[in-house]
Amino acid sequence: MTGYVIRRILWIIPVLWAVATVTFFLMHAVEGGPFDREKELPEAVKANLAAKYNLDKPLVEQYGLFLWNMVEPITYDKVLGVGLGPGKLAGPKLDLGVSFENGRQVNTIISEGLTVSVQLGMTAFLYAVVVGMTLGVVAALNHNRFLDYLSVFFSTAGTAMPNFIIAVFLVVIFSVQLGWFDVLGWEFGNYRKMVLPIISLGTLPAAYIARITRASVLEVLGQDYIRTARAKGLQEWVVVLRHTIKNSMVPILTVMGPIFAFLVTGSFIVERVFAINGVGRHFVTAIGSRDYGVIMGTTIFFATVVAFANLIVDITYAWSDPRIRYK
Amino acid sequence: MADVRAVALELEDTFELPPQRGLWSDALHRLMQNRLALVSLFVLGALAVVVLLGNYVDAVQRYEPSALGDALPAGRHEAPSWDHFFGTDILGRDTWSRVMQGTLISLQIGLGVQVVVLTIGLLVGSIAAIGGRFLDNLMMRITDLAYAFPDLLFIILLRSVLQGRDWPILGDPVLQMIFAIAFVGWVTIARLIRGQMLSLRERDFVVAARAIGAPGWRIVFQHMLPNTLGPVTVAVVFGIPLAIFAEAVLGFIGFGLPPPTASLGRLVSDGYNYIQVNVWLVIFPAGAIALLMLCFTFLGDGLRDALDPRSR
Repeated sequence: MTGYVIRRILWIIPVLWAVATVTFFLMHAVEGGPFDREKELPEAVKANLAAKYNLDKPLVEQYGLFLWNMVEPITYDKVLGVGLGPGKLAGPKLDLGVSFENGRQVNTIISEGLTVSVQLGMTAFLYAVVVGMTLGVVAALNHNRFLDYLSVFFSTAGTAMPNFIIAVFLVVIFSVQLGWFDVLGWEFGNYRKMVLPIISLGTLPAAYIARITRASVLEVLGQDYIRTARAKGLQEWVVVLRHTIKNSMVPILTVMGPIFAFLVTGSFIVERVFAINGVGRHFVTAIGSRDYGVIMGTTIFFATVVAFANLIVDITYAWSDPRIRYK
Repeated sequence: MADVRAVALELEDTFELPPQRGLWSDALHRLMQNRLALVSLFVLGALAVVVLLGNYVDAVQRYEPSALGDALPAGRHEAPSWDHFFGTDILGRDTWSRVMQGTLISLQIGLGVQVVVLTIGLLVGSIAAIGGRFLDNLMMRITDLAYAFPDLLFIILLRSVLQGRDWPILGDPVLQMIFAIAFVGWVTIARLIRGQMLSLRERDFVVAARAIGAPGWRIVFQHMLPNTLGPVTVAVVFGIPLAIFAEAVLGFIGFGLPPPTASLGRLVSDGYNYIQVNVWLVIFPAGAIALLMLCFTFLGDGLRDALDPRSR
């Protein structure tokens, strides 16, 4: 198992390298450069800017520079900015350069956006888990009755509805018509700015979790030990909480990884609707303005999230089901 | 003797044999019993008729999708009426004809992507399954990598690469969009077909076909591919709403088809800017997207239940 986990983690490195390489050449293949404006800049200015950011060099050399700036080993005294004698290795530099738009460090831009994206993602995750599991359990306990059909309908419809369509309808009803919530923005702790983005982002995963919970709980309810628990006279809530839900958790846990990845990478649409300054929004604007550093940074960030989510899925599978033998 | 025979024949007639059905007619029978899927199929059929009429018959289309209203500024932001079924936008354009155009494009892209995805998927999946260990490993590593890409971001990037150049065949923006989405979407189908074919390869009827000396292409096309059709059909039907969704997202964030073409995503995005002024502008295209996505998903759900061998 340990060997498998280590190999799985090491596999992430070539994956990220491949993602970075493909993105690098694709993004340079996009028509137009970062300094093509509506109002044409003078040739000399353009040439100077290109030289400053190494854009005048051959593409392969730029690629080499980019890779080197990512993996160049740096030492602790460089990180801390003070000399502490011969430095110990601190890790790769992970320098993504600066944004052409405002000259700020790409790493700073991403970490700022990350705060907002993580707040949104985590709260949506919480919403999805609570709502999804409740719906799933209620449906399973009322198998083939009205509440079950209602829940199944909701979860099928919820997996089919695009999040920006949900967002649009929510805004029309609750912001424009009823005026309960704000149309734009995100502010942690202010419910007027939080409820609609969370519901828009979290409804699809909630529906998905509801589906899986329902199936899993139904399967557990058919097991012999549940009949035994009931036969020995345990109260219904004990049977449900301790015997059923606890044992039906494994399939639900295994989908948490992809759901988390979906919430982080899918948030850019919701961020766009509500004008929230998260990581995804930077990616969208950066492609529009050919802001190479920001495109690379956000793509690598998203790919890392996806890679680790896949890693967690594989590990939970191996851990939860001993029949899956990884050699 | 003759009497016995007559009795036997008579008995044969009176016995009610259970109707023998093949996989497909059985699946159709099951699909017919799924009310939600049936309603979805009906709605999609009706929608297709209305959309075709709305794009190619002037009496239904009534206005050119990108023709400006003649009575500016009086014709701007009208509410739905008998003149303009869905109202008008800021430029006085008729929302009904624009939604019709957008829905047609969505359907074209949803179906077109599946054609491309199925072609690539069949090719790659079959090669991986029957082309030997080296090819299989290579193909699977490639699909592993393709899985690692955040798909919507990658579609946006591909779309931007394809955009704004004079491509020999890919000049049409709709085709560009189809290929951008399909390049990301083929992986699932390829892996599905590979898995199906790998398990089919060991089945007795394939071994038997090989034993009587059937050529390789005949085994693949006659014996293996038809048996992968069930799961592949389900995956393809589920792929349609995903492609429609991808196109709508791209249109919504401004990487869609170039204006004045009215794709549904762009219509939602345009309407959303005037949400305080004219709610109708966003409701109709958003409703069209929702309807398409729901119907195709319910249909896919019904098909999966109908074709799933475990549920029989």
